[in-house]
Amino acid sequence: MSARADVRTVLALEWRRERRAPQVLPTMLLFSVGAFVLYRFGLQDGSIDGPLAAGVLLVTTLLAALLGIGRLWTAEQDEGQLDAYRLTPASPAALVLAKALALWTFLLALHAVALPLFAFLLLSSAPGAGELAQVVLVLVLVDLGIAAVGAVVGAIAAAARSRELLVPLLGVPLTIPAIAIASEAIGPLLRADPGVVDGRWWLALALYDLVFLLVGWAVSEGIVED
Amino acid sequence: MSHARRLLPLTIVTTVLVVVWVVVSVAVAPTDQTEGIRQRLTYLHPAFAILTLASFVAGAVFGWKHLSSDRPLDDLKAYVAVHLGQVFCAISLITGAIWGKAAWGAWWDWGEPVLVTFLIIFLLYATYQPMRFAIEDPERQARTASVFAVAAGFFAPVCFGVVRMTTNVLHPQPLNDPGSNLPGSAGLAFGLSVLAIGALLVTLWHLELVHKSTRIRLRALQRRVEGEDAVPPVARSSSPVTL
Repeated sequence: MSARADVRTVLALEWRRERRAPQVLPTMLLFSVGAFVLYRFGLQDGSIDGPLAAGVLLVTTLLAALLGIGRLWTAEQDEGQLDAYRLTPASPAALVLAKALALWTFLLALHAVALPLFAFLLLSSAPGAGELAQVVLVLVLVDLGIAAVGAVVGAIAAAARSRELLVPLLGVPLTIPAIAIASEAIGPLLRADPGVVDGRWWLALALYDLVFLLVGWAVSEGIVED
Repeated sequence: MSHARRLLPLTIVTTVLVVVWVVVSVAVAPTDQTEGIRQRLTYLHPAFAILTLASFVAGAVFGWKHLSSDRPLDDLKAYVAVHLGQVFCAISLITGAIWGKAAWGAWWDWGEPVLVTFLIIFLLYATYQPMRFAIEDPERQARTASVFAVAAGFFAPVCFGVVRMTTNVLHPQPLNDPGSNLPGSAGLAFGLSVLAIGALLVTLWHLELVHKSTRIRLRALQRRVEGEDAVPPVARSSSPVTL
């Protein structure tokens, strides 16, 4: 099988597992909605826009993603699926990439529901079609960055006893640049009078994604090796 | 062992460099007319910050070598590099805070991206030992630590690259800002600070490496002489010396 077919197979397996026993998506979604409602109360029914809205959306995304990252390698560690994978001729990089893509697609599915809810619950004014398209594009890129980091962090944490503690400890600092860049990009788009996204933020996000996808590829042998 | 043999010449070179650096920084370089004595922190703080990053990148290189070769010595090298990077990072934060208090009137500024980035990197690397600590199997611990060292070693320069893209409010960029080149003996003192603290880092790295690898070999020899059960692994420690 080619590497692409390996990735596709593992990705399909992740989604089949999620469909059969939904764990990651409902958890992330419920957490996000709960956090938005909490913000609604915390900000005393205030609706938000601009950088504050961008921060609320992105930090909630990151915290929800940490829940997903914690579950990403559970089956491999607890049910011995990593041993089964090692018996196949598939490359370790394919597994790590498939894990990153699985988390990415989970986050995209999360945003498909959470973004309208966020706009409904918290945004002071709905963004126009052009701004919305750009926000979605930034989220696609930042989700990919979080997923690339999450695949590596999840694997590191899964090897440890205190998995639940290590995921946020490792994941939060590593994703701060992605959140910072995305906040700079989304902030102007969510203002009442929308601004223009500086081109360098697109480039920086794409670079961040690329670097951590390469890191995942580079350390995949160490993750999968017995 | 080659690392042990290098220790004496390295110590002599480092001592000479440190003495020259201190003399030039304290006695030769002129006192800045506007900033006064606090400007002399330029000969201390930036060098520690630069070498912190160098140490973390070295940790990533050794971690990568360990993942490719599976040699325990490479894991130990990465461990020592990360460990010294953590110490240098703490010193950078402390000297930076002192400089900040003198220059800006505040120990810390949360709006300053360079400071916050450095703190993020420090916090990230602070999880290195707890992460190792949480993995019991030594081989797995070493491999996972190498994965961490590579990922974090990539992260540190990327993080600083991102910070350079944001608007810098307060923190000077002595290597980048046009017109901020240090003149004459001040430039020499800055160069010497990087050289001397760099030499100190390399010497300390050798010292810790030799100390730890000697201890590991000693324990292995003890096991051969007294039996496997006589020298149990040191429990609840994150260092490779537990072996």
